[in-house]
Amino acid sequence: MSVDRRGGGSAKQDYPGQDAWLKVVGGAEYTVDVRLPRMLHGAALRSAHPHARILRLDASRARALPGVRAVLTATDLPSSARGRRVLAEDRVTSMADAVALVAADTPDLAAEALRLIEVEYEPLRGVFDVLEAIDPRSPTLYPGRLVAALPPEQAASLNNVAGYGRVQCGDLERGFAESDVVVEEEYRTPMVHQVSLEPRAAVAMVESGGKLVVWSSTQVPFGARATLANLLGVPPARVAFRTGLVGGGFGGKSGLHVEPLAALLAMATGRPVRFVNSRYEELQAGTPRPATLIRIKTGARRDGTLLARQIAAFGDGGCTGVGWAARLAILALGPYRIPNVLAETYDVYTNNVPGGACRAPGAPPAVFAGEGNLDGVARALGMDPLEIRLKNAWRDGDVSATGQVIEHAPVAEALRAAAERVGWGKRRESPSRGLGIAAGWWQSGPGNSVVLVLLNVDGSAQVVTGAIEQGPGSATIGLPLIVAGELGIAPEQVEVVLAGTDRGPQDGGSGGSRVTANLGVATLRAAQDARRQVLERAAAELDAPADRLRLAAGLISDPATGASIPLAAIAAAAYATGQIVGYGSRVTQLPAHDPARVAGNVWPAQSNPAYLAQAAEVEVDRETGEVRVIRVATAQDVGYALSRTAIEGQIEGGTLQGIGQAIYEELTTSEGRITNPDLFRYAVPTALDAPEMPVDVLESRKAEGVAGVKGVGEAPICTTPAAIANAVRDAVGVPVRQLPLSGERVLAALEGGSLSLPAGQRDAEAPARPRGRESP
Amino acid sequence: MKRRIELEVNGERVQLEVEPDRTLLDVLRSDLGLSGAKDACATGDCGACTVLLDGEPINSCLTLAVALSGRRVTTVEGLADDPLGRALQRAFVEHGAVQCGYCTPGLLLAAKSLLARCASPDEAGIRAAISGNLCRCTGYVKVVAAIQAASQAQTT
Repeated sequence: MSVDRRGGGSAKQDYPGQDAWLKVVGGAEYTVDVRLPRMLHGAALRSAHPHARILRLDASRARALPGVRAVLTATDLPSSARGRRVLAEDRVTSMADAVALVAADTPDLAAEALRLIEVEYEPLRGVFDVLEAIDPRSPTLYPGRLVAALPPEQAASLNNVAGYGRVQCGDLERGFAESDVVVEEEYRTPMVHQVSLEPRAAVAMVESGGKLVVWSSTQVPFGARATLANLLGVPPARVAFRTGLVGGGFGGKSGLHVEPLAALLAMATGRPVRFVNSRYEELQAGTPRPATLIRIKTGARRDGTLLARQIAAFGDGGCTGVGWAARLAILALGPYRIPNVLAETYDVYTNNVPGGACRAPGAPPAVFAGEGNLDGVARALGMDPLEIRLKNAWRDGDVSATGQVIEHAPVAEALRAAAERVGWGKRRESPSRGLGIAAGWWQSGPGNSVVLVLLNVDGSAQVVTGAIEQGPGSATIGLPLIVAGELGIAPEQVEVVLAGTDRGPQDGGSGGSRVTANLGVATLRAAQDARRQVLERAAAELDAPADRLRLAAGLISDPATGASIPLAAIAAAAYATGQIVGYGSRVTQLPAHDPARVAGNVWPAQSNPAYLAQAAEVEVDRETGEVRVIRVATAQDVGYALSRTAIEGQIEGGTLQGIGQAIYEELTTSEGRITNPDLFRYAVPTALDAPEMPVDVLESRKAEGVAGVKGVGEAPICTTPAAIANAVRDAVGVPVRQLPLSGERVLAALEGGSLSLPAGQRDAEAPARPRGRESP
Repeated sequence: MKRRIELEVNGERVQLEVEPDRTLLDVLRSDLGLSGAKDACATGDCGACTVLLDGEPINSCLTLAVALSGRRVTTVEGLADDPLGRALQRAFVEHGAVQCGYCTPGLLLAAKSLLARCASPDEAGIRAAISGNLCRCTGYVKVVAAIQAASQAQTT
């Protein structure tokens, strides 16, 4: 297994991508830059209460304001959009709920129109915390909703459950009975926001032929088109998404947000309507990573062998119940052999803002709990946290708790590489410093892609795809490298056409770290198809068998005779008989698992997963509790490294976002209202906050070339909060089980811990009982 | 009630009539078609609206256009007008410092202002100079490397 240690920094990259130059000259166009004649500006009036009945709504004064072209409430919607949370009907269940929409000549007029809409609410009692929500004495937000697979005894005693999932294998009771040590803990994580620099944006316009065209910052154009068309009650072919460059998504743009609002206003006014979230709206009414509460209990033998793990994990899905809890089970179990498992996950309805996808949904909270608890077990046994992981880490051929067969899994190599980077086991520089380590795994997401590779008359190529580019370079760097490699031309000679939904073939979108592994493989196949056609024609020209010909540096040559012909000549000649166009597709399958081990809303397996480990070094100020991150080292398996620079870019960016979620980031709330909806109070890491972030790249599928690529972008963030929390624990001797690791929380943990016992011994004496918010 | 202002944008004299409550950011984007500067927070916290005013970085989202008569504004579209700007652009591209690109115009201008006043800043100086520009994609590693490379290219 090769571990490439040439970590990032100043090495120049080979191919920067066609959009890099565009971006440095200020020529990149994003959705916010779209300007159309007679364009109006849209705005949404959102609920003033987290839970309330709407008694009266009067928009007459808003409608009368000169320059206001439309005001829409629920009764103005097509029937297909009623009751689907586009606009509130008679009840609001979060402060993100839109109550009315306006379109006006200017943004200021739109804002003024919102102020003129009168709404009378009858506030209702709200629930804002998962434990409060599941309590049967709390209000039931959506009476009568059934939850698949929820066991009857739990259905009778749990309120506001939106989804339930279970992973079960072995014999949990026997596993704990045979354990020499059992550690039971509770972990909590808050809502955190994607904070892409570009807010969510859409411009919608109805063309004269009746087709609805939507420019959008969406990460998933074809999914967005399908959902929007369904919402509007029109065939999907009557809706076109014009997409291309996106200013970061991180999951926040993977569902519909402002697109239906712009579309409805465009349909109502007959004019183009621009709808762009302010930063306030992004943070106040966005779809953040859901808050979680995870109870976890692990049993192990004296020698460190893990025997049993029980998990009860809750995702606060807000008013829509989208808590991403289905993922928490296998992510909290981690890449380890655990023979006896019961993991139950719950999506919970509350009156918080709706939950959404955020880089590696479910992973950072789940791994924070799983890896923190594993450190608890290690310390209870007096065992090195690295050693316990090496002892239990998956090897190829192991089987996960859900029955997935593990392959291409260099977990131990990743752990060793990351540990070495931070000097694990060496004498500590100062008593206030600590080291922590965490391992994880993350999918290369599924989803289908179709790609066309067109050979131009001069031998250059075009890749036509429905993909978007949100920054990693998976489309604009990866695809040219793949095509160039196959056709023997330079990547600069390959143009990527981000075609949207009505000018190119289908694509599964940018999310789940799926692009290079799926779209990339589809592109490889399309390029191979084009190459085959080229060689067939060249074979006729050169009177040689196609399989003898070489294709390199824009030339097809016959090594046997020395004859050659330029690729451009073949490409140009083909125009007379039919341009060479290569077709490639990739349809992904989820890996097999054992259906008997899962029930309900469960993410049962991860396709082509990347395995990684991160090790963190921190320094903790015992007077303030402040945590300073000195370095976070990542060792990540990428399968096959297509672009070293782009890979490092994802790992460095993902790690810093993980540091943000570990130390700084949290959406604070009060009774359902986000109380820090701006970038001063919601602290995104700056250049001054970024520590050293060395990168080691492993290639477990190197021999397969492009076909062995694994997704890169989300894996890094999975383990960062866990590694840092474990380092804090190492530094101060007590665990901090709530993110972010603010000074106050670290101090509270220090003061809550018994000062008369040496660090480590306290955990060994910890009885098996839930922790919750009370101090131990 | 519009007011007439005259200022220099990217080396060109520009005459405009603007309402007094309009920001420089809005005037650049809507009136002058210079869309490189972005509105990403409107509160001066993210730096995506950064332009140079007489060579110094400012938040154009918080600056009123009417206050700028006679001043000199540089946006990302004017970077290629001088060798330092071009060196930074090349370095950003070559070192993988550009991902989604939304923060890139502001970062380039902050870097230009730094290198114009300090030819060989150390890493701490670079990080401080760009600390007002949020980047969510890169982790800043290759941004710092690119700025170092550009400063080396200028001084050799």
